[in-house]
Amino acid sequence: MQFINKQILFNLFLFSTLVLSSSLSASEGKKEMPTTVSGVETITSDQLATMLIENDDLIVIDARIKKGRSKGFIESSTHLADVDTNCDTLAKVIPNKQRAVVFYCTSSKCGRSLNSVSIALKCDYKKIYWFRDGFNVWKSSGYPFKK
Amino acid sequence: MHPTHKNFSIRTYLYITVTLMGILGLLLALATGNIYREVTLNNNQQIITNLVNRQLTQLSDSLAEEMRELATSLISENEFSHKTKSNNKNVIQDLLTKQFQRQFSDEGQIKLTGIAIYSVDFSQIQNVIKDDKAPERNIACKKLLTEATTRTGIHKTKTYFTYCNYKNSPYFALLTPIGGLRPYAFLYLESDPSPVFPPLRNSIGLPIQIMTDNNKLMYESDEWEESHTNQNTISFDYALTQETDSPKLQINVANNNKSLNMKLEKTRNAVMLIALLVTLITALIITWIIQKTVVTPIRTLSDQLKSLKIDRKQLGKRVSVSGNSEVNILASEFNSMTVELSEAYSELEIFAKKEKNSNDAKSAFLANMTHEIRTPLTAIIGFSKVLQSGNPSPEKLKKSTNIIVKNSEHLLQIINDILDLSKIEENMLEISKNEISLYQLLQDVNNIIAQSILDKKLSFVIHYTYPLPKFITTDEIRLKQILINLLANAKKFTDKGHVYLYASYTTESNTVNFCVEDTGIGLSSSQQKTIFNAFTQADSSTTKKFGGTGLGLSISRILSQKLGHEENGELVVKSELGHGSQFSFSIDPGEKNNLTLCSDLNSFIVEDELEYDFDNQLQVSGNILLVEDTIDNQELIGTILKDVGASVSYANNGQEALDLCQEEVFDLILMDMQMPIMGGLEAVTTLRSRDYNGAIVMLTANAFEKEKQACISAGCDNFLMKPLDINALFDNIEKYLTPLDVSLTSRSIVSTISPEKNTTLDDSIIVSTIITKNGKFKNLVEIFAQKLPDFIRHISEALDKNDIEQLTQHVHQLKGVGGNYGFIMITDVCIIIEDKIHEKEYGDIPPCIDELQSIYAKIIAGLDHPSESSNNIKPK
Repeated sequence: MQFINKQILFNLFLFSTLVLSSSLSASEGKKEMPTTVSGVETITSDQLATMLIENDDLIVIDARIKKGRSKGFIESSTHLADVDTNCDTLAKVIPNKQRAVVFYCTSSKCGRSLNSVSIALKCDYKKIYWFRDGFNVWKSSGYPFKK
Repeated sequence: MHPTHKNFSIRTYLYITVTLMGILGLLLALATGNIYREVTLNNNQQIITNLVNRQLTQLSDSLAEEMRELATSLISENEFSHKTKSNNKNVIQDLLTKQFQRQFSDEGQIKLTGIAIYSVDFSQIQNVIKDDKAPERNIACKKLLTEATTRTGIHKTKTYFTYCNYKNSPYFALLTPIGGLRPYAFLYLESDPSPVFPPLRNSIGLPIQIMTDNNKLMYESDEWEESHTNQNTISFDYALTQETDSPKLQINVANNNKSLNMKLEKTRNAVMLIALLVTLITALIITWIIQKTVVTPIRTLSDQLKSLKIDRKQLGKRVSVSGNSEVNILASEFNSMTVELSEAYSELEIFAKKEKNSNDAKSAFLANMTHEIRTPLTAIIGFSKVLQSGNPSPEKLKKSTNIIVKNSEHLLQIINDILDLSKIEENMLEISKNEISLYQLLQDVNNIIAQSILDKKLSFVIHYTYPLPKFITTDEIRLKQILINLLANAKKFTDKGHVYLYASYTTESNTVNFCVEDTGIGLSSSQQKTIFNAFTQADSSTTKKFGGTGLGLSISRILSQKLGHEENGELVVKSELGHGSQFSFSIDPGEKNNLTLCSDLNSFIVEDELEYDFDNQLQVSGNILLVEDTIDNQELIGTILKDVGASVSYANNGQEALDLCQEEVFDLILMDMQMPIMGGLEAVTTLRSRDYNGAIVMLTANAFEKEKQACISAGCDNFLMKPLDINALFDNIEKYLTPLDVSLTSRSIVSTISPEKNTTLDDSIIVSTIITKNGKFKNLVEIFAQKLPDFIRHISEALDKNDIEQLTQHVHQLKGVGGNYGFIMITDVCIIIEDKIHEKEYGDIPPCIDELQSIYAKIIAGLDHPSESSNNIKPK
């Protein structure tokens, strides 16, 4: 059973890679954000809202620069722009590497959250979540935000 | 084009077509312009509608954003959060009122109409509603609240907004949690959407009016009143939310775009004008092309045809054509037709001219002939009537018969000439050459013509220039014909002087040359050119003066051409007016090597074969059937036949002959060719088919070869030409009947067929015509002359004895014998005596006997004058 599951997963991986590559080639080099990153869980706005309600220790990092954040941000989120992100700055925001941490930026096209996620992966954080859709989807979904 | 036809010309059709095309083009342009205008206007409306919809949606979105911003900023204020948590209603009421007044008094986009705070379970905590339109209302948007209460879990933390209706007036409502993801209350905000509309006017650029569902004005741009009309107003509904029961706005836009309309009008007019021009120009070009390629060439052709009608000289005139279009093909066909026609026409003209000339000539000839034939006929009939009436004197009788005979001969000559001419015209003149003695030929010519020339007191000499061929191969009859014709002409046109005939031979060209010379009236040079033409004499007055058919020279010329070598057979004339003429021609005497050339008269003379067999007393026994429809000919030929001793039966036509032949077989049948009831040819054919073996000789007036052939192929043994040559007749009688040997005296031939006039220069002597022909008969004539007194005595005695039988017999004997010995006057007198006997006027006979005595004396005198009786041949 375990073998079969692995096989299915592998197949899915291959399939998704294929879809990704084909969509990449179809968009002729326009950079599309990957939908998933290995070792990182991508989450929706509803998942994020649920996690926030259920887990007070959840660390949400706003990877936008200041200009983006000024248009509104998720309450309780910590501002750490991707350009300022490294293992040291992360360590200041996240107490230990076992803490769940969510990264977001403006939208699925902004890329800053992905940069930060990559850095966090390198810095060996174990529970990384990527709110890929970003603040715009959060706001339009009707979830509360601060300004 | 025929003028009575009501068809229009091609040009008219073209003009009609052009006009119709123009009208059609105009209508098409009008339709196109209108359709274009309609489409453009519809398009414009659609664009305006879409634009307004999009603008409204944007404005609505921005309102929602602003309301949410407002709500968020309210909640974020510490004072608000603090006071709402206090649960003190008054405090909250104050707060809300303060906030509401602040927002309401703002002249921004948001015109807040209500504000309230709800507990989490939506039991109302406190509210402030300040709304001019509905001051009594204290219930917020029910739809929104109902929606909110049904939410669970995280969805309760979401902000919701929508449009609600209050008394058909829409308003915007928003519900947002207070306390973030762990709400402890909800903030409710309401606003009037009207303030968001004014930017619409600028963004779409047109006067606009926005009404609620129940026609309550929500917004109207400044210029709306003066600019909107029913025609230019675009009206449509706008749904404020996606829900089916969404509140709606009625949008009116004044599409008062004058410049657009003007543009459209202009465009439509331009399209129409261009369409019209294009149509007209196209039509004009087509008209021009058709005019050039069809109408003009056809007009040219028809003009040409018209001018042809007026002037036929236009035939053959070509119309210039180029190219290969149908009209050009037509023109080129017309050209070839007109050329062919002109050629045919000119041929016809030439033909008609020829025909007219030939007709004119024939008419002239016929007129001439009629005159010529009538002249001798008049004489013949006139003198015949003289003979018929009363008792003519012997002199009168003699004169009359002589005139009749002369005229008959002339008539025969005319007919022979005409016959020859018709043969020549039909190219049927046949030349049959035989070897003959040149001397004999010239003797024959002399015998025929000499006396008549001498009668005119002219000297006639035949000059021989030796060497001359003894025998020549030629057509004897034709050669004689030429010579006699020329000599007769010479005699006719000469009053004094001489007529000479020269004969010579040219070795180099191997020709025998004849020249007839006279000292007559001669011919002018212009006359010399025309005399050889058929039907013409030197001039028309000549005919009147001298008579003649005018055919002789023409025939002679053709005959001489036939007899001569190809290059020198021409009959030529040399003449001087008033001094005489020379007619010369040359004939081909046959193969040069076969000729025997004589250098003197002795070797040249050939003895006469005695064709004129006056002393060959033919007597035959046998029976002859004479088939002849004319009684006169029956009598004449019958008499001759009886004279030679044949018994003669008569049949009037072929049928009678057939009947007779069934009963009897004849030694000889003489069959005339042309007879009524049954002709000669048919009769002969029938007889031969019945195995009739007797000899048949056809008598025919047709000298053509084909007639002769027809006779032979029908089964005839021979044929004879009419008028009958008595010697030829005798030859045939001798051939088919049994000849008897008889004495001279028993033979008598009535010489009515070829009477000859005794010719002398002196009335006191008579010379026998047979001596004139041949001197060797002189002895025979002398013997006869010695017997003549006995004949006269016998007649005189019989008359005295009143022995009529004896008288008749003696007179009859003398009649035949006298003529045969060349004394026609004896015959003439005997005939008179016979008449007297017949009429029993015996008293009139003695003067006749005296006449005979007188004749006898003259004969004796003639015998005593040998110089007078010798022939006229004077060898050179």
